Amino acid sequence: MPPFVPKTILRAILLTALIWVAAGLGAAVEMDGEILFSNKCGACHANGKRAPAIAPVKFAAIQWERFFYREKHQRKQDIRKLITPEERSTIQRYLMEHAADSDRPIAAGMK
Amino acid sequence: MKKRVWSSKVALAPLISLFILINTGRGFGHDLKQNPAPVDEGNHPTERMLRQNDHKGSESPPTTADQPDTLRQEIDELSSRLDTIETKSILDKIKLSGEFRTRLETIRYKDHRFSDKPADGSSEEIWSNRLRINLRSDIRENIIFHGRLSYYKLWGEFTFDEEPSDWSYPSVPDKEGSLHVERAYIDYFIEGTPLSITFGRLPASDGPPNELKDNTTRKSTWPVMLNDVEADGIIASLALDHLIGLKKSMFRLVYTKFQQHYLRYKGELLDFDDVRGMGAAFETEAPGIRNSLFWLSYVRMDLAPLRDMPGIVRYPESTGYADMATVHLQFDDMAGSGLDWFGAYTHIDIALSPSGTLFQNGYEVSIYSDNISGTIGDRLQSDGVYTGLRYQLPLSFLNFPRVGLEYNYGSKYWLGLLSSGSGSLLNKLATRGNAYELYYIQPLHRNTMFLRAGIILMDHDYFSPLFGNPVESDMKTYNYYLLVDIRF
Repeated sequence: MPPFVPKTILRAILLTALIWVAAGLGAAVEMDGEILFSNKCGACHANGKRAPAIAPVKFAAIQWERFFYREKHQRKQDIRKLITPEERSTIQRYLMEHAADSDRPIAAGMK
Repeated sequence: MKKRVWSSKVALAPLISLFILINTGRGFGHDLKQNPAPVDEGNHPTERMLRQNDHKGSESPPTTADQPDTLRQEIDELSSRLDTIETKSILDKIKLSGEFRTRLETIRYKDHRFSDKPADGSSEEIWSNRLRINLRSDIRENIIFHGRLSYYKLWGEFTFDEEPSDWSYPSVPDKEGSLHVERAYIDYFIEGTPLSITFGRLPASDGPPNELKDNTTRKSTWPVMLNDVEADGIIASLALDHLIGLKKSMFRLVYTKFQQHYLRYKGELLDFDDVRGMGAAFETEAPGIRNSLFWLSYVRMDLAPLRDMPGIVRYPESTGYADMATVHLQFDDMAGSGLDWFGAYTHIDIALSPSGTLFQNGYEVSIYSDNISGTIGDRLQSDGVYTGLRYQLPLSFLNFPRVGLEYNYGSKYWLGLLSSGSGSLLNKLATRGNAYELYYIQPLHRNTMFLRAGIILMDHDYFSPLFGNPVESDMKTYNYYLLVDIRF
């Protein structure tokens, strides 16, 4: 029997639960780029909707950066009333972090 | 007024044409050449404008009479260039990326049992290079090939008493400096189903939480506390997101083979069982917490007998098996605070065969047991714990460096044989005792070049080979390192 059983394991479980709760509470107040992208951009950009579906891997990070810097979306559709500047920044960060040339997670069965 | 409107259209035409050309990608120029004034497609703004220019050309000539022709020539040229680029893009079937590491380290031992009498020792300056070339080919949307070629070598000629085995190349330096196939597998996503099959040399080593220390994203399937070696096999993955509503949830069945016979000689010395690993695993993002991983798995792995030493009279077909249960929990960038945390626990139940490897001198040995202690055939329980955190310092002028602290514990019978992929000369996760690591990551160029400095302390409670009764030890190992990682 290892020396830390069972009290240490109980403490570890309690600590883990506390970290879980803390992480969960924090996550609730933070703006999630993925959710914003899905809700805001996905409202129009999806299969069967008015604009073609898009994904972060459509462009490399520098291309997304240029897309936002040059406000390319504004040329086609003014969406300033739909997305606040903070949301826009969060979406841009999410797209750049998950761009085609980003460090993508690798595991069996993951695209 | 009319003339001014016309002029502004002429001025805008090249810009609009270029924009459309870029967005449509191909063919437009050729179509235009073959049919300068298309009737059916006349609603396209650029074509409409060009046609208007043609008509108006006879009524009120442009400042430059041949401008539409010049425009067409430019479009043709651009189209031709885009066709060339597209052809190259189509033929560019494999995407390459690389990782290069140079590492300097000092290793010091206190009370090391190199011989019967504990002694101190050190290797003060060890330099090494590691190269990884990653490959990916999207053969079809649902068939993806992944590969990784790796090279790991100490500088110059060197003495090192361990030869890399089939599954330990990433962490054991190769004296010849050869390029090794670390991964080569296919992900086959069965169309219309949440099922995928992965087969080949699997993404098995270097899993969570190694990405924290390496300052990257997840690089393998299962956590290092379960398995951190290369493996050939098959994985069936069932994506459960839409079935149970848990984000990024997946159930996997795994079959791997670590040793197999080409030909068995029944009853002779070369007669031993294949070594397989089989198991089931479930993973998901922790409910309500993004950038998190919750992992639960059960794996049974065969244990191979000791058979590659002189003086062996006989060895068993199998040494037994080990049942491994692993739980891993990880939160990255908790609530956007820059703090990452992970905790993992593995319990291993080792069921040994009643006989071990017999030497000429009558000594019989098996995993963590021998005939002197009378433990061959016992059922051994072992536990391992691994936890740590990493914090991103809010120092923009230093490009947001990170500090990390890790701790792991291994019990008397802890099987560290399943750990090796971290690219470190010393395998701290194999420690039977306590191990600590403190490190600092300094980004030199964002996402491209990192410097890491760290210290590892391994405080051993037991230190002995895998085969034989564990020997108590006061040995301490200190590892100081400095490395540079470059990704491209």
